[in-house]
Amino acid sequence: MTLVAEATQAFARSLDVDETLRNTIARFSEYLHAEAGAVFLVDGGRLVCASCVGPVDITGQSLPLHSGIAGRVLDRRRPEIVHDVRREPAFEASLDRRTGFVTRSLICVPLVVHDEAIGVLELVNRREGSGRFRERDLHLARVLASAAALAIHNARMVASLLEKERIERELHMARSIQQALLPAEPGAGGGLAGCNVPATEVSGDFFDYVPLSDGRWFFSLGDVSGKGTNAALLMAIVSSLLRCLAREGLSPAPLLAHVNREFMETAVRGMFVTVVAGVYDPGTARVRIANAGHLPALVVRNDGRIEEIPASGPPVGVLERVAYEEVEIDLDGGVLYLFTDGIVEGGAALGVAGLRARLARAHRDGGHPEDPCRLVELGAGGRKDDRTVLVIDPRRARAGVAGGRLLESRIRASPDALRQMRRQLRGTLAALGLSTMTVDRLVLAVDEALSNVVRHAYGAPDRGDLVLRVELQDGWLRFVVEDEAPPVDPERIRPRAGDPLEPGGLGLQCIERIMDRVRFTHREGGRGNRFVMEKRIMGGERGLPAT
Amino acid sequence: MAYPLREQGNCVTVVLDGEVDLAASPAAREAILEAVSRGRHVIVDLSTVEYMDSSGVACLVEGYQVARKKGRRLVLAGAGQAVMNVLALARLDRVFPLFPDTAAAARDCGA
Repeated sequence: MTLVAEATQAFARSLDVDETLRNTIARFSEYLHAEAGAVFLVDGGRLVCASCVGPVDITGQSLPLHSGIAGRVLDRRRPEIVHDVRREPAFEASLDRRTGFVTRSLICVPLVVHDEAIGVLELVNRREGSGRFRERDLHLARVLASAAALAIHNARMVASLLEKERIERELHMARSIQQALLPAEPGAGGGLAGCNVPATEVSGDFFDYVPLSDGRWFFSLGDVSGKGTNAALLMAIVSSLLRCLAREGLSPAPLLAHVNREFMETAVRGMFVTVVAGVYDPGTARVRIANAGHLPALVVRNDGRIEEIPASGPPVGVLERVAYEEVEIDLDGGVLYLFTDGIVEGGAALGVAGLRARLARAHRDGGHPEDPCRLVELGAGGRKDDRTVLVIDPRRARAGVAGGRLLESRIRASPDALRQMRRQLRGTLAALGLSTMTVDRLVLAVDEALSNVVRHAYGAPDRGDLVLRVELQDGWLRFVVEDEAPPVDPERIRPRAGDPLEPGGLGLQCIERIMDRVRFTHREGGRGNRFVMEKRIMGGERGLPAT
Repeated sequence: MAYPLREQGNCVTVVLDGEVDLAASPAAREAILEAVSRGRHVIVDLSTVEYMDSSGVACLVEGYQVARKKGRRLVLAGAGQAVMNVLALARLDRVFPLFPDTAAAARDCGA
C-alpha cells in the first residue's frame, strides 16, 4: 500500500499536475505490469489524453466522448476490465491505427470529482503471466484514479483562481486609468469639487471640469447605462468628447446635441448616457446648464430653498435628432449639486426626497455646503451602483480665488471659551472638504495657539479678548490669532527641543509640526500680539486638498 | 468637573472623558496625581476622551514622572485616534505603556 500512499501524497502536495500525473501513471503501470498507461480528460467534446507512459506518446490525441470502452466507462462511471479487446465490439481502434500500437487488454477507471466524471484512467496490456488484469489490479487503479481526479480538480481550481486574479489586476489598472480622467483637484479655487466611488473596480459614472480660455469653467457629470468595462470605456469616450467640444466653445445645449449625434453614429446599440453639462463663471457666480435625461440638478439656497433643473431632453444615445434646452442660474447665495442615481437609489440611499431634506437642513443650519466626498458615502450601504457627486459653490470659489475670509471670531481669553472656538473652527475646516485627520490636527494647532494667549500673554483668565481669523488664499490656509495683551518677547515663543518629557513648550512643538509656516509679531500701535500660522492645503490628494 | 477613580487592590484607574483641554486639565491633573499617590499601578482610561490638547498631555507626563520617582507604574488604556495624534505630535507615543483597553491594562498590573 505504500505505493498508493505515496501517490496520493504526491498529488496532494503537487500543483504541477502534469509531472505528478506522469510519474504516478508510470509507477502504477510498472507495479501492475502494464505496458502503457494514460489519463484522458473530457475537453471540447472529446476525451483528450492529458498524460501517458508507454512505447508511444499519445498526449494530446483524443477519443470520442460517448463511444468506445473509455466513453462507456465515463458515461456509466463504472470501471471495467477488458481481457481481450478483439472480443469487445465497442473497442475504439482509431488510436491504435494512428499510432501502430496494439491494445490487447486494459483496465479503464472513471475519474470522478464531486459527482462529475472528468475523464478516465487506462492501463493497457498486462505483460506478466496470462496477460490478463486481475480484480485486485482494478482496486489499485481505482485508488490511483481518485487521487488523480482530485489533483486535476485542484489544479484547475488554482488555474481559475489565477485567471480571476489576472482579471482583477486588469480591472484595477483600468480603474487607475479611469481615475486619471477625473479631475485630481478642486477647480476654480475650490469652487468646483467632485467625488466618484465605483461599484466595481471600474465605473460608468463620470464627472469633469476644465477651465476655458475666457476664465469660465466647463463641467459635466454623467452616468453610462450598464456597468463594468463596457460602461467604463463609453464613459471615457463621452467625457473626453464633452471636454473637447466645450473647449471648442460650444455652449451646453448644442454641445449635448452634438455629442448625441456622434454617439448615435458610433456607440454600441442599447447603451446610452444621462448627462448634465454646463459652464460656470466664477466672476459672476452664474451657471448655464443643460440636462440630457439625468436626475434633476439641485440648487440649494442658503435659506434651505431648493430649485431643480430637470432634464430637458432624452439621454444621449436614444434618439437620432434631439434638441436640449439651456437654463441660466444665478448661484449667488446658493450651491449647485449634481449627483448620479447611486447616491439616491438602492441600498441605504436616502432617495431624492431624503437627499433634498438633508441638503436643505445643512444649508439652513450652518450655511455650509455639503462636501462631495461625504455625500457619496450616503449611498454606501447598497454599493450596487457607482456613486458620483459634483458640487459648485461660488462662495468657496471666491474665498479661494480672491483671498476670502472663512471665519472671524472673538472670544473672552478664558479656558472655558476655547471649546466653542474649536467647534466653530472645526465646522469651517470640515466644509473645505479636508480629511478628518487634517481637521483634527489643524484644530489642535489653533487651540494650542489660543491656549498660549490665555496662559502666557494674558497670564490669567478673563483679562481680555482674543480674535481668530481664518483665511484661504492661493491654496494656503492662514490662521491669525490676535490679542490685546502686553507685547510678549518673541524669544519666549520658541518650542523646546530635546527630551519629550521636559514640561513646557509642548503646545508650540505641536503647532510647528502641524503648520507649514508660523510667525509671531507685535500688533501695530504697541498693544497686543499677532500669531500667524499657515498651512498649504491645495494640490495633493485626489479631489481633496492635500494634508 | 471631577474625574472618577476606581480602586481595585493596588491598581487605581482614572477615567478621563470628553475634551481634556485647558479648561479640563487642572481636574485631570488632580485626579491623576491622586491616583499615583494611592496605587502602585495607575491606569489612565482614555477610551471616552474625544479631544486632548498639550495641557492634557502635560498631565499624563507629570503623572508618569511622579509615578516613576515613586517606583510606581502609570499606563494608558483605550487611547483613540484623537489622543494618539497628539501623543505622536508630542513624540510621546513611545514613552507611555499603551494598552487597547482597561482589561488589558489590568492584566498587565497583575490585578
